[in-house]
Amino acid sequence: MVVEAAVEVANASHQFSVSGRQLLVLAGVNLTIQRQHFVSLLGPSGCGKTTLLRIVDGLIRPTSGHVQVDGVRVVGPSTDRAMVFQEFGLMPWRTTLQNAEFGLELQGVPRHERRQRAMAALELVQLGDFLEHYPHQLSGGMKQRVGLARALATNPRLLLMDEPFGSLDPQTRELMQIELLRIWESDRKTVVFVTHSIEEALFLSDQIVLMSPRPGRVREVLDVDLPRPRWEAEEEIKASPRFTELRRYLWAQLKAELRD
Amino acid sequence: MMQSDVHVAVAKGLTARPRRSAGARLSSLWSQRRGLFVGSLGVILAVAIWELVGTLGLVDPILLSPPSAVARKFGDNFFRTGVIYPHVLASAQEAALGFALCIAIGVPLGILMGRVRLMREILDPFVMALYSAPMVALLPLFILWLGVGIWSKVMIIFLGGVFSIAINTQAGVESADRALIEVARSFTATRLQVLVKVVLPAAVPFIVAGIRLSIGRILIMVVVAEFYASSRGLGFLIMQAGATFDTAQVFVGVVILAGTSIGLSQLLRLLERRMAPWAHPGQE
Repeated sequence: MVVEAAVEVANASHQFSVSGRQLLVLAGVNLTIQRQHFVSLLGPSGCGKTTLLRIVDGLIRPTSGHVQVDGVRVVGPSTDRAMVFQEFGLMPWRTTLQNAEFGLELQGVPRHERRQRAMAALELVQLGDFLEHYPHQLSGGMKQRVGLARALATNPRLLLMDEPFGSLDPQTRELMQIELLRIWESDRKTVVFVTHSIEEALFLSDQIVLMSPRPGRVREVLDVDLPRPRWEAEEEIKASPRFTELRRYLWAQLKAELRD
Repeated sequence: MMQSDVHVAVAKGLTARPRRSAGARLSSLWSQRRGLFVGSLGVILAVAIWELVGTLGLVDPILLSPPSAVARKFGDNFFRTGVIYPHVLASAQEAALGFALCIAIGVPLGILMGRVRLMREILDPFVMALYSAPMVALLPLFILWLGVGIWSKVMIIFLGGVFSIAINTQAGVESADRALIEVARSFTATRLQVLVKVVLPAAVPFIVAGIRLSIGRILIMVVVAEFYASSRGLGFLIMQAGATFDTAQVFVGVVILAGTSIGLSQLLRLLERRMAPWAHPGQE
């Protein structure tokens, strides 16, 4: 069976104008992401990984080249995709439940249905007891659970995650990775996950897209052949020789990148 | 797996606090309400001194009626002669009409200026000029245009209050977090949805602050407009009382106006707490 690609990035370049100077953020990126794969974009800051993610979502248009998702050219945000944001992006005037309903509300899903779907998503991220709390009453980890629930509630075919755990403390971050895998390994949506943490990328991904900065481009695509499910086997996975080997390899690549 | 998160929630005071001793409660009440206690004490002291100055005959009561005389006058006005009611009614009518217009025009104007660049560029000089100009100076003009009836007063009241609301609304609209707007766009929000679901809720505390600011300006305009050309209203009453050396009556008018201003302002503060609890973390 030939599996149709979920995401197809064709020769995408992007330029920003920073104080009158043209800055090339992405230079001719080609990338194919298979359905039901968990793919991480890994690289140092300035490698354009967030820009690439935003292009895939349709939030920005590439200066040249194009992106197809499920065979359809991306011209703007779509209900088929949902994003989880680094700084959570929760509306401070909305409760947990109202925040989780946000995407469905924008899509015009009837009140009763969106409430049910939001509640189900919040149960999935174990926030069922915090429905009426406002974001300022939640910890960082809980806020990002709300962000995740908001994305999952819309039932997207493609989940885009922009350094979602980047602003969490290390312990919470690890717990959230396990949580994410627990949820993901049960229904396997296609995920594109931006991170600058080698461990995070390795533990979560089927594939790691290693990117280089100035200008941002794809340096290498690495298959992560660690066994799944991983969420209940975190310590074994991270202590396995293969994990160590891959981490060393990626670190060597990144170091070379940073020295250039 | 949720344990650590739940602990954080508990630490933030989401669950019942343990009981404390009466002494501890009293001292925490003092530290929370300190401003109220000290402030009330100051007011009581000031009123007492004012009363003494009057009853000891240090100042001629024609120039400064003591609080007791003002209170008596107040009671007479409301419960014996009832002379105050037509004045209160007239002022309230003008103020309510002007205030309603201020909000009905000021909020949309602020939104327009905050969201549409061309509108901002066109309207900015006018708003700035009208906001800074001593609006009272235009009153003779409005009387000429609209007559000495209620509408010239409503006009000046409206112009006195509308710009603080518009300017604050604009600031609120512009303050909306770009990241949140992007979140909404990513979830396929239309321009209208971005406005209604992100920009306006973010602007609520600003809009309420603008409305609170406008209340003071509106009441000034009510009084001044009634000084000029009127035979009714609190401004007229104060003017007339002053001209006939009835200082107690002057103070009755001033107390009503001040009370109204404080009352409305507090009401709005309460309203804002209810509408935007998120803007006051730690004050629940």
